[in-house]
Amino acid sequence: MNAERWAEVCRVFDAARELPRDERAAFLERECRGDGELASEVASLLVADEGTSFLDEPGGSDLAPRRRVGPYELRGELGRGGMGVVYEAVRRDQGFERAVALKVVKRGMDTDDILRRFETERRILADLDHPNIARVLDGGSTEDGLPYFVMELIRGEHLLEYCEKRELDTAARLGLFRQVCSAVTYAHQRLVIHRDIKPANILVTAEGVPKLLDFGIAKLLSGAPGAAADRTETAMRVLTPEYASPEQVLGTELTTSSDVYSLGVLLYELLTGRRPYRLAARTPGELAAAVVQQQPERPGTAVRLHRDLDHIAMMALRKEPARRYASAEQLSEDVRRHLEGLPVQARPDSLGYRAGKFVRRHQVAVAALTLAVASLVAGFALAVRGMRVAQAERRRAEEHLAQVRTLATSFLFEHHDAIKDLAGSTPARKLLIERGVTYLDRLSTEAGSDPAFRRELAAAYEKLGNFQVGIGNEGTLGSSEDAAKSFRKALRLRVDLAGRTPLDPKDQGALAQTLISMGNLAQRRGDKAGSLALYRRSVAIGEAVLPSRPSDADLLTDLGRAYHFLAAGLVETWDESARLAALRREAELFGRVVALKPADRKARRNLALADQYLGSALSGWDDALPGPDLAAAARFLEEARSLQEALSTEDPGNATYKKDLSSTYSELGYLFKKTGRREDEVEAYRSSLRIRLALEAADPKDIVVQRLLNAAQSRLASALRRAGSQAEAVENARESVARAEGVAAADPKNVYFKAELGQALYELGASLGPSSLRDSCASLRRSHDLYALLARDGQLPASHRRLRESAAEAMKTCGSAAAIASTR
Amino acid sequence: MSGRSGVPAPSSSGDVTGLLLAWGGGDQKALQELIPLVYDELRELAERYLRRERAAHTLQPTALVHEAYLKLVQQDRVTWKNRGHFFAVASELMRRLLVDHARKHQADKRGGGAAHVPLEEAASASASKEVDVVALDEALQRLAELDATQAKVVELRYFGGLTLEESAEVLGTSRATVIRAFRVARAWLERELSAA
Repeated sequence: MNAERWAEVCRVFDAARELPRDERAAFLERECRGDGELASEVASLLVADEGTSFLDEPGGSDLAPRRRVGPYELRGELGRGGMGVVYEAVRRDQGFERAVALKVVKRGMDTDDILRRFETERRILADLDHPNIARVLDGGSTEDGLPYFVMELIRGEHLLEYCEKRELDTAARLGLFRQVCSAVTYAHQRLVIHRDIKPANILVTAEGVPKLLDFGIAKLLSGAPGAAADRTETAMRVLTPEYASPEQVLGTELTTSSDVYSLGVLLYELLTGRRPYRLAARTPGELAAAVVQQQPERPGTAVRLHRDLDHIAMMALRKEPARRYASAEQLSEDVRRHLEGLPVQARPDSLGYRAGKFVRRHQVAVAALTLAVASLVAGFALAVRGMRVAQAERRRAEEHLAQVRTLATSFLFEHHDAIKDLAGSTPARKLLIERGVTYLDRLSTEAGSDPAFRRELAAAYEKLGNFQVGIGNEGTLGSSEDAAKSFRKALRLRVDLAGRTPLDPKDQGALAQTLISMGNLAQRRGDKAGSLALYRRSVAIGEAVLPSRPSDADLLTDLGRAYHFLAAGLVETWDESARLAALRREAELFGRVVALKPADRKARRNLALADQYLGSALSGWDDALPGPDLAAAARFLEEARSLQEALSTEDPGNATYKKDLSSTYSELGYLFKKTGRREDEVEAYRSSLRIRLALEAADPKDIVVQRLLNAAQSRLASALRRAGSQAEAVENARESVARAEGVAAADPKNVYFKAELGQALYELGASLGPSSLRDSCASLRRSHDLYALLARDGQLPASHRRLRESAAEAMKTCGSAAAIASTR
Repeated sequence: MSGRSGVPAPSSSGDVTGLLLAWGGGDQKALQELIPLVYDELRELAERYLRRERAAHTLQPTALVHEAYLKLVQQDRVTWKNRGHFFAVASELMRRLLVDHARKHQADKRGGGAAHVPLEEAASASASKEVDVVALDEALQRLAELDATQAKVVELRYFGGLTLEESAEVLGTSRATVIRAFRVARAWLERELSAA
């Protein structure tokens, strides 16, 4: 590299950096046309640019006095804190002046990362509409790259000051406290955790209304990438240790329970004027140790206080999240009970709380598993106690955690996989998976930030999700709702992991894969826009990494798959040019993989599938679409067929290759229909049906085979009908309806199953024709009604649109025939 | 250097300020005299910091440079521009000093000596990410061959703690140029140093 070349790299880098992330790949491709070295140089710089750097020093240049930030004009400083400086600011908008509070975050935090997280949270935060919450309105970065947040401006006094000045009595203080609890409850219901509840973040207005500031901000700032230790350090820098929960201090993953703890500290201070931990020296480290280890003094020892309030505060302040109040609402509710003289739920913490109780609660019914589960549970309890003993003994606790973790994963993977093929093992599998996930889930609170663990947990959730997706199969464990939940959990972990290692293609690839699984599920549940967005994200991630590893077969494959699903999703948008582009890119990527690994069967299969889809798209599956290219379609379909024939011959026992081949025959049948080669059409569908019948014989319960068989038969029926072989057409159509009914009944929510039943019914109605008008019309009516219902709910698959019209058209004939019959 | 207390002799403060002003007025010889004075002060400060146990968290190259400035320069006599020039010189010296220490420490480690806290450890403790000062120095030398301004901006900001404005002033260029140079240099260094 010389200086001249470098200047070129810098120019492209600067330009690309100004673009949104998902446009950068395309930009590079345009800008570096044919210059792969330039593209990969810039791409690797862009990747590095996303990460943190030693240059992002916490020190750096200080917050210099400023007059403007973005569109806001600063009026004066409201305060300075651990996070930065807060200003009063105004924004002028069409003659209006709106006063806001504007917080500039000090240097040392990765602006891009914070803003990226802000982008995802923006709507959620802006939607927090509660009388006791100061709303987050906007965010951005200052000219010199510091993140800032804009909030509703609250004029008021800090909570403690307010109480002291007015010498409020306990009841009045509890009243204010309950209002704060209601704000926290409201946010928790919207899945927003505050993470930094403390008196300084609560202002009381002149009207006596407490307002909680900075909702969600701590999360934006403290989720910075890094190991557990870094996180703790970040947490300590950003947060006020006196109010942080033990899990926050330890840098493990947070739940709403952490806010409950901080509310406990707040309550403690409101009641006693002191904080729970008293220390001579107050270095952050010592405070952190106290938060994790020390049992706070009961508030009642400092001031005269009702015993209930002692219990309430102490329950909120318990070290283990699971043993605190389950929610801010419950905490508030207990305070209310106290105020109304009712018995409270809180009880003094019993020292007799032991693993035994825990084990008893978790006895497992399945005898064969008792031993394993009991040791798992005991290990878990030990681990929890280990956490209580905390930092000094953290290592030991970690060993326990590791042990539990191993057990949990072996439940999920080894034990489960060992029995998965046994007939009737479904209930046991269900138990194993659920237990495994439950324990991993619990561990995620205790041990969360270790990347290896998080990868494992993500894989576990994916396993569960995929299991739950297995719709209609004998092993069905849950609904698509549950699957969505599992995938969402996996996604959260994957996003976090990928964010920490922007250079690691494995984490990026895993994230891209999770997005695809979620996209597939969304697709299946009829959420078209959602699934497209997920596929697009997946594709963008892959394209971003690709320039730096243009010959990485795994990466090419993953990206090809992402395009494959994206193309499938685009079917519903009628954006055929986008879909064709995606399919072409897919075929190109898989072509590159096959060139790299010519003997690899998976690669060849992928290429064949891409050809098949591309061929099908080029045949023009709907007349409303722009001009099909039948010659090109024939070329691609032939290539697909020959690849798939070869694969089937090489590995005759492989059902997948046969399925693929049968689909290509089906596509060829359609192409022949378009080109008017009627006999070839019938033959192609017969070939498809023949293969699928063999598949069904081998595995009668495979639902995919059922659907394929069904499609082949209903198409064959149509071809036969048009070729004049009515009897054979009716026969095939009847079988296909029966099968489609079975499939649709197995998962009533699946829109594709319904649409396919509609198709089979239409075909039967059409095949029966005028010669048996009553049966024909009954069948057409059912088809018509099914499609109408799907269309009403916006769930009609695009590929069935024509069929729906045909069914409606045919119904008209029935209508007039019925009219004629009734007048007779 | 023996016998020097924490408080510099009044004359040295005057010397440095005078030299700084002379240099700002175009006297290149003044710079030759200025450099050893600043370097000694920086080294003195650094060593004193390191002798204090491991409260080294407070040690940052930029803090040292700043402290040296406060001690060596009579603020009422210098302009904002003079200040920038001082920091520019000091940042270069700071870099040299950190690299020398790091090299020496590596040699000590091989020799089995070194009881005191090495400077680069202390320096990296202050930054958000570990950085090998020697590797950084070498990377900056390579970067300087591609684009001298980019390397200089990193030096000014990382070793001297100069703001964007000050960096622009010292380099005689615009703020926008400094921002662009810093961005790309940051990404380049991140890539180079993590690849190693």
